[in-house]
Amino acid sequence: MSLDVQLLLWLNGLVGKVPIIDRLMSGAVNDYFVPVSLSLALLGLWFSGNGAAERERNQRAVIYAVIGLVIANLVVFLFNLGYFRPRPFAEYPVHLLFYMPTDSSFPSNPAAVGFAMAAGVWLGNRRLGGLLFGLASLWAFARVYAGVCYPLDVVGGGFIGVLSSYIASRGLRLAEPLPTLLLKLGRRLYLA
Amino acid sequence: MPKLALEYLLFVFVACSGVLQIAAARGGFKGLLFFRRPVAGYIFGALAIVGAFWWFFTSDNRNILPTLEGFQQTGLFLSAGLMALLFTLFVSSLAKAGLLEDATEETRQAEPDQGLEVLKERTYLQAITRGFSRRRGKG
Repeated sequence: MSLDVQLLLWLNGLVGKVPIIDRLMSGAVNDYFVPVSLSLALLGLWFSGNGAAERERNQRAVIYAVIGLVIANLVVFLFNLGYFRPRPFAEYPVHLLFYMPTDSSFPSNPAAVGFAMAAGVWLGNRRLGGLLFGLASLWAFARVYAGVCYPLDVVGGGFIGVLSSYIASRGLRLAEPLPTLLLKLGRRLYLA
Repeated sequence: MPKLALEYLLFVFVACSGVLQIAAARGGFKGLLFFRRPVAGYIFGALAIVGAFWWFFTSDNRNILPTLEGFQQTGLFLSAGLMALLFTLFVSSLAKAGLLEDATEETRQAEPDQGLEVLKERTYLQAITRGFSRRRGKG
């Protein structure tokens, strides 16, 4: 049995032992709690900053995160066209805390999405970015704990997410002056 | 529209409105606040966010099917976020219609930087009308 499967079975074996942790993981694993929290953080970041310069840095970080998210989703989609890994519940007797997704287990889409958003923000705002990495990690951990992903799936998804936002940030620097013009347009509308 | 989509839309709309009030209070954007005092913006924002999460996650089991696909969530989040922004701009413009009347003559005549900075002293409606009349004056 591979280390990946051993780790999954050990973590998932904890289900039912500490009810409060089960409740916490049930809350964190679903499709809404973490992604909505991350998106709300992006909205708040857009309007945050002491002065115009810091606000512009934050707004650029929001753009990195959004474009990183799009790239990450695209990479996961392309990956799934050529590779399918069955979910843990299809192969092992795990304790499920979640519905049974039908898409490929590897790479984990939630991990890719969460880490893309966190990395995008981190590139412009280390403090909030660190907090969002914590949220994304909680989401990824909960997917393994709840028996819907293997550890390697979330590590792979997280790697895709971080790399996507890094590519987005580099790409946007190359795409200048387009991002600057976009922000200028936002300022003309009093929204940036 | 399915019940879940409608619930999600409402959840995000209320939470986004709360985030915008907290951001307005924190950034000193008086023209975006619903209230005279920033502390009221913080309280409103926190209650809206906590209330929206509480309602959405306790009103039903969100860990079972049916669920919203990623692209559906993205579309609904963008729609609800835009609605919350428009709601905030509209309500704050109405609630703070007298914002410039309270300002000193110096503030009234000042030419603030473009962008969000303008909303520290003016409502969105005041900013738009002033920008429009300035552009007409130049033309």
